[in-house]
Amino acid sequence: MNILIYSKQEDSDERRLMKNIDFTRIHLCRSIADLKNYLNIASGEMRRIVILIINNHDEMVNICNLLILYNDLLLIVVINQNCFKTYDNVHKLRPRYITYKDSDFFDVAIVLNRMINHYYL
Amino acid sequence: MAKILIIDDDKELCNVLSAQVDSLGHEVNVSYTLQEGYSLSLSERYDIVFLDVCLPDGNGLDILPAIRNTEYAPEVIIMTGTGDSDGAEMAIKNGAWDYIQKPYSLKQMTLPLIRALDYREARSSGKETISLNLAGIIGDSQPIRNCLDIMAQTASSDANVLLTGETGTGKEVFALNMHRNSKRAQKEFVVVDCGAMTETLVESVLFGHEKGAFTGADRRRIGLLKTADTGTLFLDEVGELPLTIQRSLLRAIQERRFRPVGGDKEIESNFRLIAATNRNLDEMVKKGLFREDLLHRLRSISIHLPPLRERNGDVQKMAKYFIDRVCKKNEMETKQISLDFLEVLKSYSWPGNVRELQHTIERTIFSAREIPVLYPEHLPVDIRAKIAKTTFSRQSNEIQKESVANDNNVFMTLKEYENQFHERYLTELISRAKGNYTEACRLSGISKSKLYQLLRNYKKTLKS
Repeated sequence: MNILIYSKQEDSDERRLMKNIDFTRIHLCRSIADLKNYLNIASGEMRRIVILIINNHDEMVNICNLLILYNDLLLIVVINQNCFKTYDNVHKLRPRYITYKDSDFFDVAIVLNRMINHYYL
Repeated sequence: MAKILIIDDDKELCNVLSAQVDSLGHEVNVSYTLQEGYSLSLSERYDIVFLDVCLPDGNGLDILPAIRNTEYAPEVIIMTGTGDSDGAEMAIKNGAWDYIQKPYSLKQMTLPLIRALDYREARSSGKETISLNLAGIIGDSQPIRNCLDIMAQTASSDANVLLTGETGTGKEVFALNMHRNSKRAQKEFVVVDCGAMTETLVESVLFGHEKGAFTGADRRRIGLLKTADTGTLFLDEVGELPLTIQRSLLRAIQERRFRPVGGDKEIESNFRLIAATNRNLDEMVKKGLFREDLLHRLRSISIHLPPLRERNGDVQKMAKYFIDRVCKKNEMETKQISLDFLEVLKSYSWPGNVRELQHTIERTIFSAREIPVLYPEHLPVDIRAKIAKTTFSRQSNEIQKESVANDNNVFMTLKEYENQFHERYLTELISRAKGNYTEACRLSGISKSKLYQLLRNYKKTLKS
C-alpha cells in the first residue's frame, strides 16, 4: 500500500509532515499532472489514501477540477491557515480529515494510522 | 381498483378477508401455499400482499425480500398466529409495510390495507412530480429503485437519514445525491469519517474547540457541525463513534445546539444529518456499544443499500459506465466488451460490491492496454481465480444435488447413493490407473482383494 502525497514544493511544513507520518511507502507528486498520472494507474488497492497540501485558492480549484473524476479516495487535506477562500472550498473535495499547515501533524499521523487499520488491515 | 394477494393456509380467514377486500372494491387472489403465492406475486402486478408466516411449505418471511424486489414492489402485510417480536422486527427490516397478529378483527386487517393503499397512491403521484438529478448511481434494478423512491419522497425533507449496507455499496455516493437533490443542495456537504479519528480528535472536529482548550489547541477551531450549518452533515462509519461522543452528538441532533470543547457558549447549527454504517447498529445496541436513543434519532428515515449480487441487471450497466469513465480519465477510446466478459462479470458475486466492480474494471482496462475489446483473459488473476472457484463449487453443489435424486427425481436410499458413488469412483479409478492393478491399489489405498471384489460387484474391469 502506498500513501500518495501531493505537495507542490518542499518546505518546512512538508518536512515536518513527512517526519511525523513516518511511513515508508510514500509517493510524492509535485504537480497536478503528476497526481493525475499516478491516480490513473490501477494500483491494486480498492481505496487509496491521498494527502493534499494545498497552499492557495487557485491550487484548490485545479485539484477540485481533477478529483471530480475520482470518487473513492480517502483524502486528508492540509490547507493554509491564512487563506479563508481555500477553506471555503475544501468540502467540495469531501475530505476525510482537514488540518492546517502550521499544525504539528500528530493529528495526521493518528488519522492515517486509523485509516490504514480500518480500511486495509 | 387495487390488486390484492392473500397468501395464507387458513381457508376460513382467506374467505373472510377476500370478501372484505372485494367489498372495498378491490380485486383479490388467494393462495394457500408459499410456492404458489410466490409464483403469483411474480406473474401479476399486486399492490398489496397479505403474507402468513407459518405456511405448510415454508416461512413467509423467507420470501418477503423477493416479493418486495419484484418489479411492482407490492406493500406486504405480514400475518402470523404466534406472537413473535423478533419475527416482527425482521419483517419490518425486510421491508414489510405492517405486521399483524392473529387472532385479529376485520378492522385490524382492513386498517393497514387502507393505509398501505393510501401510501402507495401518494407515492405514485409524488413520483410523477419529483425527478432526481443523479450522479454516479447506476442501474434500474428493483432494489435500487426502491432506494431511489425513498430518496425522491424525502428530497424536500430535513429528516435524519440512516444509510446501511455492506462495504462498497455506495453509501457516500448515495448520501451526496440525497444532498444534491435536497433544498440544501447549494450549501455544504460536510463529511466526517468517524472511523478515522480517536475520541478526542473526533470531539474537537465535530464540535470545534476554543484556543487553549487542551494541549495543542493553539487556535480556535470551528467544528464541522457548525460548518454544515444550512447544509448536510454526513457521518460516515457512525458505528465507530465512541460512546461518550454519542451522548454529546445526541444532544446536538435533538436541539441543533452544542458547546465547543473549552467553550462557555452554545452554538446553533441547522444541519441535516445523514449517517452511514456497514455495522448492525441494533446488535451494537444490544451489546451496549451504541446508544439506542441515538439510533432512533439517526434513523428517522432508513435506507438499506442492496449488495450488488442482489441487483440483477445492474452489473452490465455499471460495467459500461465505469469503462466509459476510466477511458475518459485516461484519454483513450472507449473499449467494448465481449459477451464472454459480460457473462463472467455477471457470474461473480462481487463481495466488495460496486467498489470492487469499479476497481476490477480499472485494472482490466489497464491490462488490456491497446486491445479495443475486453475479454475475460484481461480480468485480474485474483478475480478470475475467485470466479473459477465460485463456478466450480456451484457446479459441485449441482452435481451433489443431482446425485441424491435418481432419474425419476425420487430421493435415493443411502444404499443406492453409496452404490452410485462407488460406481463413479471406480470409473474414475479405472481411467487414472490405466489398467494397472498396482497403481489402482496405490491410488485408492485398498487391497487387491478388495479391489477385485468391488470390480466384480459393479461389473467392471480394469481395462478401460
